[in-house]
Amino acid sequence: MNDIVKLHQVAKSYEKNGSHIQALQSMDLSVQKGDFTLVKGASGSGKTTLLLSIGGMLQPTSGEVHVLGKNIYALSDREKVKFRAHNVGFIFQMFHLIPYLHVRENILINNETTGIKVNENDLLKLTDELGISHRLDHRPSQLSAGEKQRVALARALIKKPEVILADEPTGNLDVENSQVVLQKLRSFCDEGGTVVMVSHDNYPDQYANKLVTIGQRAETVNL
Amino acid sequence: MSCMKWSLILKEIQYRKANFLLALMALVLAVALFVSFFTMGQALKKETIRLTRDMGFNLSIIPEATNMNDYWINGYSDKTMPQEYITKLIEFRDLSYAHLTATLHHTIQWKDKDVILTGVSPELEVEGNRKKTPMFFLVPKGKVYLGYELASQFGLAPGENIEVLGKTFSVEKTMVETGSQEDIKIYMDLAELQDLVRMPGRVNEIKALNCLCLAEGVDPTEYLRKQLGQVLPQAKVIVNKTIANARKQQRHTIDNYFAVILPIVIVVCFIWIAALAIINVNDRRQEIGIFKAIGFGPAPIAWLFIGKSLIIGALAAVIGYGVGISLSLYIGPDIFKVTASSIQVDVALLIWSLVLAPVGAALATVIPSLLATFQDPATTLSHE
Repeated sequence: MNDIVKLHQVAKSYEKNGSHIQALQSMDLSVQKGDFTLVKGASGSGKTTLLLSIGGMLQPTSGEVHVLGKNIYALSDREKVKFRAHNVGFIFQMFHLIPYLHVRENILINNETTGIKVNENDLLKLTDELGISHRLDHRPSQLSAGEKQRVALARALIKKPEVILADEPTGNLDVENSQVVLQKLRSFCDEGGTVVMVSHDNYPDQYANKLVTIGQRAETVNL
Repeated sequence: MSCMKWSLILKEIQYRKANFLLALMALVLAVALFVSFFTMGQALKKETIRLTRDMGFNLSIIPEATNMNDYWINGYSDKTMPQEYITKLIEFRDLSYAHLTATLHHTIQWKDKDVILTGVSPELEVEGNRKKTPMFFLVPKGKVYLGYELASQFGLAPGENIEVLGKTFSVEKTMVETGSQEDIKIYMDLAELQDLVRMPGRVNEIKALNCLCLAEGVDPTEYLRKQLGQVLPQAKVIVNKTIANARKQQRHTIDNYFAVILPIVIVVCFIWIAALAIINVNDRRQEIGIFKAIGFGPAPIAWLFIGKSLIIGALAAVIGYGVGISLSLYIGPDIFKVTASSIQVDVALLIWSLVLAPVGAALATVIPSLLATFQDPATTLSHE
């Protein structure tokens, strides 16, 4: 099997206000190239923890995380940063755009980390597909929620990553905008990319081909 | 550093103007005070030198056999000593005395009044010491300086002639009122007075100045007497402690000015900038998180804050220098009326400001920058 993401007995626990919190419990997960994996679970079940762990941003307490065949937490900090810059795209529920940069600069911010100069035609084609090409010279504060998420999606897609990790990307969007985002993520998978997406909603199910439910123990089903 | 990162810093500055302006203001204040303190400090130092010089000599070297009761009643020793004692003193290189001036005092009846004739020699410095601006005036031959009381009692003015012990002198200057024995003195050249009173080569006092800036615990009087004893066992030294203490007080004032006030101002501004940087880091927690997610390493993230500080520092150096110099040139002459000419534009201070302000601002931002790089993205990017 061509595993893009592989988790083996990954657990994450931490102390908060004197209490021991078990965010992830001995989780195993395999995500193959082209998979659109949907992660569901109750609030506080560790969905975001899982995504950040896959992204190399939150070291698990135990277990191993392999992305593109690399044990990501065995890499040095510098290698991890470089690996993330080239191979992983993030999308968040709260968009997290840089407020003082125009849309164009927010999307091209990756140039700084990948060192790859994005072709202007590629930028225009992608933003056109996402319906935000007329907003390139606007600031995030001038955009609607749907437009902001489409900018965040463009930022993740423009660098052509192997994996996109999406944390409730439709959580703040209306149905129409949600469909645009989900359709684009589906297309990304169809073209060989891999998506791991956290969601509370049911309608993304139709775009995914794998469902992981996090609870007492994680369960994976093919949709 | 790439153009993009500079552009990020500049855009962030534009976006969060208040934070930038407050930090800039703090640093402009620090630089302006630094520049004006040093610019006006030159005038203050000169003013202090002038003030302490005007306080007069604080040492009197008189013959060992002097009857001290008579000395304090008359204001001078009734004994004399050879004038060449002063030569012995200046040849003794270890001597910490300065502005050595030989004087001869002699009381006579002049126009039915008791007056003190005082002959003054040119000031000499111990060999090897640098030449200093004279503390005391030098009376040209054939001329006299008249004490205030004598000039006013007899209605004498500069340019008039007077006769002293059968010799005619021209009044060169009438002195201002001092409220002391000085008001009944007639000052003249030492050699001329020695001829007039037939005491060639004799003096009854060598006036001198000592900074009395010895290490803590050393008694200056004892130290000076020991020094003098090595050269002139036939003389003794009297320390005018009132003048000495006034000089010491003045010196401490200026030392405090530089040693206490300026560092306090700079430390306060340093804390101010650090606090603003921490606020800035806090405001940008999510932004830092996303930078990490995109693939910015710790160094580029820290640089976003340190680079901003460098920009603030460089701008503050130029603005602060301008403000500091303007303040010094505008206010300084009102404060330091006599030494105003020493308040001048000093380009070296601009260079120092351009080095110290950015470095200081960057140092103040180091801890907030580290906080930014160690920030856990899970807490800022998560919504769980």
